[in-house]
Amino acid sequence: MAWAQVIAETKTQERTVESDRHLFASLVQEHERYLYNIAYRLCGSREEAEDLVQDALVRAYRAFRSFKPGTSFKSWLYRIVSNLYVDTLRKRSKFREESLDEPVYYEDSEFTKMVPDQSTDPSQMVEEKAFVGEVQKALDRLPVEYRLAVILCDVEGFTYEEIADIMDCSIGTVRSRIHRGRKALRNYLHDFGKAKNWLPGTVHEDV
Amino acid sequence: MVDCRKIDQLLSAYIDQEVSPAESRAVRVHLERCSHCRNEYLQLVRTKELFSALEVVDLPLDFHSRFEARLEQSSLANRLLRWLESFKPFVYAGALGLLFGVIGMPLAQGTKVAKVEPFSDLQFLLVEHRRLQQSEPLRQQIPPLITESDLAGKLRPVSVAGVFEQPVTSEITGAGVILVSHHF
Repeated sequence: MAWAQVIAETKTQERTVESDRHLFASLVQEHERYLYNIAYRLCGSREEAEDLVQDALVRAYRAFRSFKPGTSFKSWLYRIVSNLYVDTLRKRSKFREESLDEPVYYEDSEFTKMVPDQSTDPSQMVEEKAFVGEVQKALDRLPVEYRLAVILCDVEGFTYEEIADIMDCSIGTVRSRIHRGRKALRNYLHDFGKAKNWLPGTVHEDV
Repeated sequence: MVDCRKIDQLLSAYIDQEVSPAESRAVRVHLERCSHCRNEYLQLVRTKELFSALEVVDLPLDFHSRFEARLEQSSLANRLLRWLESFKPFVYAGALGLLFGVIGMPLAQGTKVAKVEPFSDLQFLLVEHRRLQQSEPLRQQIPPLITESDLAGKLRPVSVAGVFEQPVTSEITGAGVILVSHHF
């Protein structure tokens, strides 16, 4: 880790083919687990995730000269995965064109009071196989831009600024995508979440 | 209420602590008095918590071996394709290269010799993955890099000049097969 960072700070003019090879290999070794994780959450299947990671690694190596030492390799690598994934979807003509509903406008505030204390802890929920399956299904239903934004934020813990960098869009767009994506996920999981006493309160019908 | 609509749009960013101090205060004040938005807020918190709590899915145990196999195939296909592509223009250069024991030669791109690589990128990835998997230092088997000075004034087949956008290198292996690989 420390070694990789030291090398990452090496000035461009000091880079050689040999040092690049070592650097690339060590960085990939450090990040491949998380790379696979995000690929899995994006694709929803192990086979597709593996193909995506392999393609991304080959592409990343070929483009490694364009990686600027001192910047985040993780963001750079995730950008490659993201672009590759979107490209793949487009090629397969499975690109989802549907858009989510506009943000909800609330005319009134007649809602059931929530009872958060009685809800089930999410960390316990994800231990249930069936629920994890539902969560992944919900992710799969999201338009790709929303799915990517939510995964980068909630699963990977990136900041909005980092996500904007990875997705090559403005922070405002990231904010909107995450919000709409998260709302849609909540809606997709509503029935299941209610049955499992995971979701407090009620969802507005218009949402 | 207009307030609710504005606040609603800020809820996720508020949860993620990605709002300005002023926005944060506005949301907080609103949530204190609006049960509807509070309900919405708590549901979104729950949703975020759920996805944040998803466990990290590990790489399959045989990921590296499958990747290696794939690179092997790609490398083989790559070799054949590139060999066929390069056969015509390189046939004379290759023969001469063998005679002179040259394992790499620069191409075109004016007089500039960019990266001279004895291995293609796919081969490198393959070797690297083997190296990572085994303690045996396979890199020892890799021939030393050719320096620019080694190549100065050496063969420069011009018949493929301009075909490749990237610097191209060549290598000769086995029975005089010339491999051409893009690098970066």
